[in-house]
Amino acid sequence: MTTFGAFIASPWGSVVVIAAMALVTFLCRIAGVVVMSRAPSSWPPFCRP
Amino acid sequence: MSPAPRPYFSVAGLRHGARAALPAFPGFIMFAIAFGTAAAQKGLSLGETLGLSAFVYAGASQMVGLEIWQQVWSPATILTIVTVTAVVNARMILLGATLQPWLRDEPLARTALNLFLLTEAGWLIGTRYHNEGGRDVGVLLGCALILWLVWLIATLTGFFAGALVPEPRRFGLDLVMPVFFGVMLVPLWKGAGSALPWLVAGVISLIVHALVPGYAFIIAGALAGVAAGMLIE
Repeated sequence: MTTFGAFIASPWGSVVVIAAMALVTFLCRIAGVVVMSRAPSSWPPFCRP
Repeated sequence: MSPAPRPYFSVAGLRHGARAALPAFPGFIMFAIAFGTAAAQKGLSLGETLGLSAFVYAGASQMVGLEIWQQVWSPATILTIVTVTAVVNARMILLGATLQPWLRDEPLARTALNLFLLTEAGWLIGTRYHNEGGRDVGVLLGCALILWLVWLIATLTGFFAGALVPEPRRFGLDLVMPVFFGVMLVPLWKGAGSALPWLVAGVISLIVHALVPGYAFIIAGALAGVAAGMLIE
C-alpha cells in the first residue's frame, strides 16, 4: 500500500474526505461567479452580467 | 432614467438578512435533524458529522454522501464520493452566476464567505430582496450566516437524538433517509410527463447497480436523469 493509501485508510481518511467534499462544493459555489466575471463581450447578451 | 443603485454592505443589512431568513428555519431544521440522525445511525462520529455540516454545508450531497460513507477509505471510494458531490452540487454554479452582478465590487474575502455559505434558501431570499431593488450585500450574508448556524445546531440535535436510540429499527429511524428523499420529491411533482427524468434516473440506477459494483449507479442515475430532462425540455 502506498503512503497515501495507508494515510487515507487510517482514521485521517474521513478528514481527507470531508476536506475534498468541502473543496469540490466550494468550487461549485464560486464557479458561476468566476465564469460570469470573465464573460467576454463576444458572448450573447443573455450570457453576460 | 436614473442609474441602477450600486451594491453596498452594511451591518444593518446583516440584521435584516437574519430576520428575512426566519421562514426558511423550519425546513432547514428538519433537514439538518434528519441528516444528524442518519449520520449517527450510519456510525459517523460527532466530529465527522459536524465537519460535513460545517464545511460541506450542502444537505443533498451530505445525505447522498452518507450512502457512500466508509469506515475505511480507499482512493476509489474517495473519487466516487467527490464525483457524486460535484454532480449533486453542480446546480450551485447557476446560483452563483446569478449573484455575480451583486457581488462583483465586493472584497474578495467577503465574496468568498458569501459563496461558501450559499444555499438555495439563502439565494432565494437574497434574490427576492435584490429583485425588489435592495442592493445591500449584508442581507445576503446575514441570511447565510444565520442559516449556517441553525444548520449546525439542528445537525447536533439530530445527531444526539439518533445516537441515543439503541435500536433504530424499532422506531423506524433507519428509514429516515428513504422517507426524507421520498418527501422531498412531493413538492417537485408536476405531473407524470415531467416525472419521466425521475423514471429514467431510477431505471438506469437499478441497471448500473446490477451490472457494476460500487457506487457508480448514483452518478449514472443522476447523469441519465439530467440528460433525459434536457432532451424532454
